[in-house]
Amino acid sequence: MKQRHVWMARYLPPGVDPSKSEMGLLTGLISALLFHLQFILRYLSARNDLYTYYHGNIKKLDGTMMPPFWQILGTSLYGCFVAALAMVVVAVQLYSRYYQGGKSIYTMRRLPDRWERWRRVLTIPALAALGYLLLAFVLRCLDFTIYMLCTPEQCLYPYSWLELLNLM
Amino acid sequence: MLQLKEVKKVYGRSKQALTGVDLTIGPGEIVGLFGENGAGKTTLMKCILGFLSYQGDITLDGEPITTRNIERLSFATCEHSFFPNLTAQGHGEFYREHFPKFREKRFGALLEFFELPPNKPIRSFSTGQKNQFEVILALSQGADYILMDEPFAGNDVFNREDFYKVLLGILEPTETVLLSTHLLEEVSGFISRAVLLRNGRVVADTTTLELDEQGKNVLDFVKETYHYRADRVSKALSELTGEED
Repeated sequence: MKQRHVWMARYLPPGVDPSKSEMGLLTGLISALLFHLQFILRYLSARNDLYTYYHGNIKKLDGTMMPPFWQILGTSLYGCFVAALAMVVVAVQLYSRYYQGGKSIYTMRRLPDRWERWRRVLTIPALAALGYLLLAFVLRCLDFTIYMLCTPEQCLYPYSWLELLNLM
Repeated sequence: MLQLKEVKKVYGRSKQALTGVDLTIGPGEIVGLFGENGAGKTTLMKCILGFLSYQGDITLDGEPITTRNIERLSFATCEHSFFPNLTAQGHGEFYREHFPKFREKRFGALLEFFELPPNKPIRSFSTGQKNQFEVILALSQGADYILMDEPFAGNDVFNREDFYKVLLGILEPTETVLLSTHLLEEVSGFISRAVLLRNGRVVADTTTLELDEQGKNVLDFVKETYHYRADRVSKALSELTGEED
């Protein structure tokens, strides 16, 4: 067993395969990232709308503006939020493991450390939920950086920098 | 000493499972807990272990049972309290980590005696092996009071007999067993005291020594206490077949 799986096993109900749990969390991560791709698509599309093609040349349209950041961001971070919320379901599923194939809950309830059964059910989902929320924050910062740096200055939506306050 | 005073348990609003149980079990006793289905045996054990809320007092050497002293109680149940996806070896590691008095040597010896594979998940065991493993865990936890609720349901007779012998051989004088079972005749030579429950109350409590002195065995004692009518079956059969005496 890999070192990180040994660590994970300590925070999962006994007998739960850490590599499968890890795979589940990775699936959540990849899904959230794929879902976030819509920001890139929306941004590229909005940026493309700033220009026109004339006789094979690219020409910037006068007076066109980029939509505000939040509009381009849209629902692209929802993948992270859904993944974070799904951790509630994961915690319930992990707790239900104490009732599968017997009643190992009886052993867990007899442990001198009363928190052990909760530790093994809540730690990984709580950390993963925090991780997904952190990912949402990082992606939002990254998206904002792209929005600010890759958009021609004169096309930026007025007071876009105010979005920084929202980030904080 | 495990002491129960006026222990009452009501399921829902009106289903009385225990109607005031008074019981004291001292160190070293092997107590058989008998009673018909629904008499309250399992409920009583679950109340002792704190799995169910109840009214009354349950104390262990004068202290209420909390996380401070819960490790002094172990539990083997026909519902199985092991982790099905964990191996026997994995259980050993888990118990070693969480129960400071885990009896490593006893655990290993019992696994070997019953020829249970140490590296296979318990879910792959046969029913008999699962029961054996359940009891092995209860015996190896290092508890002073070992509660067993129908632990041999599904085991064959040879298997059970082996277990009684092993139990008698390995138990230390201070280890106490509270065994709930329907196998009256089988355990009669193994227990030192018989407690009978009926409708959630202790209706009889005697030692096997007292029974010996009266020339009775556990089965007679139970039948007598329950006012068992031996002619009940023959009468019913006669009525069913229309035979006349």
